[in-house]
Amino acid sequence: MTPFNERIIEALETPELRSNLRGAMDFLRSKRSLSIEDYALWQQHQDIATDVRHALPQQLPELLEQLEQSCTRNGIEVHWAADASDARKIFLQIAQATNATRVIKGKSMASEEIELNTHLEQHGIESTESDMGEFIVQLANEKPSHIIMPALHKNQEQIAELFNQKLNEKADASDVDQLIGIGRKVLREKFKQADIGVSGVNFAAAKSGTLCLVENEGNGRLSTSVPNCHIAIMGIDKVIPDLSSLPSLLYLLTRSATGQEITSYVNLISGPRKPDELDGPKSVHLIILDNGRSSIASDPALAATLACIRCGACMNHCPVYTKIGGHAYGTTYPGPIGQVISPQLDGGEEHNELLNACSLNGACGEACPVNIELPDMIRELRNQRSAAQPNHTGEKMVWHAWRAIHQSPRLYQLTSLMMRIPGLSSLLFPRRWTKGRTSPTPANNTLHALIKAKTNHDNRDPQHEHK
Amino acid sequence: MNTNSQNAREKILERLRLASRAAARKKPDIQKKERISIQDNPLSKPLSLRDQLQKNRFEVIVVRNETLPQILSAIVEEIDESRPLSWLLGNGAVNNSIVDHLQKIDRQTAHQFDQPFETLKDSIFNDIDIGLTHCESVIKNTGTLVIQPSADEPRTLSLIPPIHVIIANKAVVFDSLDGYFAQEIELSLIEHSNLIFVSSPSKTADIQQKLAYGAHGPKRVIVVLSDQQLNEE
Repeated sequence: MTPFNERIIEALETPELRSNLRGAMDFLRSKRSLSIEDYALWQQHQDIATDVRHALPQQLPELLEQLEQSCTRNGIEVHWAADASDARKIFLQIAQATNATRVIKGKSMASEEIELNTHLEQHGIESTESDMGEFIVQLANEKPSHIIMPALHKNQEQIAELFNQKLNEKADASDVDQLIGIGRKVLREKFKQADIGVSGVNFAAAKSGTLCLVENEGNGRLSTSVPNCHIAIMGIDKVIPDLSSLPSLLYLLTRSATGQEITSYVNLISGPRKPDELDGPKSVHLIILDNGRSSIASDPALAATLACIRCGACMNHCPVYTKIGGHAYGTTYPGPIGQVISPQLDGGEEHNELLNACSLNGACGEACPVNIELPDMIRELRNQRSAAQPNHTGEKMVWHAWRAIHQSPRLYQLTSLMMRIPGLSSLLFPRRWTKGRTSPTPANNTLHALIKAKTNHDNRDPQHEHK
Repeated sequence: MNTNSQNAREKILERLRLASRAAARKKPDIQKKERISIQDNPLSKPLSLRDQLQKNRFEVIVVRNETLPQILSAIVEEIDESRPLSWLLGNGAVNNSIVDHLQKIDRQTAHQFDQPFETLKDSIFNDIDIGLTHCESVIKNTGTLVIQPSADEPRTLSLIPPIHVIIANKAVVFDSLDGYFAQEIELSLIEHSNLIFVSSPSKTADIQQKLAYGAHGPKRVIVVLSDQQLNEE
């Protein structure tokens, strides 16, 4: 993969991508703020959800054991995977034991994390994404660029072109209903033929052994109802004690993600087809995936990220994500939450670079419905990283000088005066920075001088009223 | 569980136990956001059940003292298709009786889900226009119908056919999801291995944020309620 810096430049230099992102982000943000009509109620739900989710790191071992017991009691087979390779092996064993050749997938970020599709194809098993966005991304041989809306980097014309090429259909770029109709037709056949249906898990209730799936399209329901075998993959952090907090979690999740009061479907699965039932999967498997999450639980600075409900609000509100989109991050989870958890989940030193893609504006922390202080975490991780690096004497000197100037009014005034000497200010900016930018011209008067002049003027003019 | 999975289990739980003990010693204080108090919010006035359901794109039919044949005729009229229509229903006395009455209406053919899914699969995917289920609980403020698949009314009845008819005129109306979860959920979970909260026809906005109905599930959902449930007088 090209370095992060180059991926950023590549994204910024693609005008179509920037306009697609802008449109999608404006849409998601305005829908979210419109959906929070009753702020007092929002706060109530936020309190309940925050308490439940932040207690998680401490309760995880008990809750996971309880979930295993309850699921087993309900007839769901539970498997444990320490990492991505474990999870892939477990999946393949189940598939091979049932001679499965075709898999249909509902949306699942955990399955993206373990790169399930590539693995299955290597073993001669066809794996088809059935969420419309994921289907588009798979047809284009790409990865999702957003955790909720995987294909938001593409516009209607690009999608119609893709359907024409890959599906041999006469797709009309101006007619979204027709485009969706094509997807529906192609995927219905896949649902019918599939041996295994895959899903993620939004929440798993330990007490009752219930898997909760949230969706709008119905593809999640089809994946978990039509094939003979359903395999659900969940990160260990998806567990909740029981269903009592679910209304609050759903209230926050759907509003934060897409600005909906509730999704079209909330699907609660507590087991396979019963002996007297006529449909539903004959077996249900749950793969519980760690893949770095237990080391997050062990790190006091990061443990709170396990409270995340994967709504995507932090990326929708991040000025950096809005400009570069999800692909530039090169991780399963992009945006602010991805910057914090990816070094642990995806491994590799290179992900530390992601921490630079932040202006510390704090919007992600503000938007987070379960009070994860992402800005503090990013700052803390930057601290840790710079502590581990050799000292930059030049940088240190600059900041020492900056502090001295801002602590002394006289020194500050003197510096302001000097900055206005032509030619001198431009020396202060690093040449690399001014190569592509004009160095800023200092104003004729300082802010101090302007305020002083205004105060004098107001005092002289008794007619003046402050509004 | 095989040995590999067993080993992973021990490894994960051991690591989490260590982390949990460390977390217990140093309890992090959650920084909740500053509260903003709001006196009165005119926007937050809840809609009536009918308005909420219609906002969610359900087609609502309200009945008073109509007989079953009258109700079924009203549904056929609402569907408003001139071609012959093929219905799929569940089993049990109530569904048997609906099937009998449907057969008497022009151009309507009714089938029952009386064999395993595998046997009926092709016909459900290819030939059925309408699936009919009953519903025992309705949630007012989100406009949600709780579907409880069972041996009599299987899961795919409400999912595969392009039109879904929900007979909900005997359902209990709950104000909110919180209310339903507090009162009903435990019992429902014991009886049903699958529970579906349906709040609109199937939809997607995955293509350039443009909303389209009928993504993978039903494109139209018709709901039958009674005037008492709507409580509109």
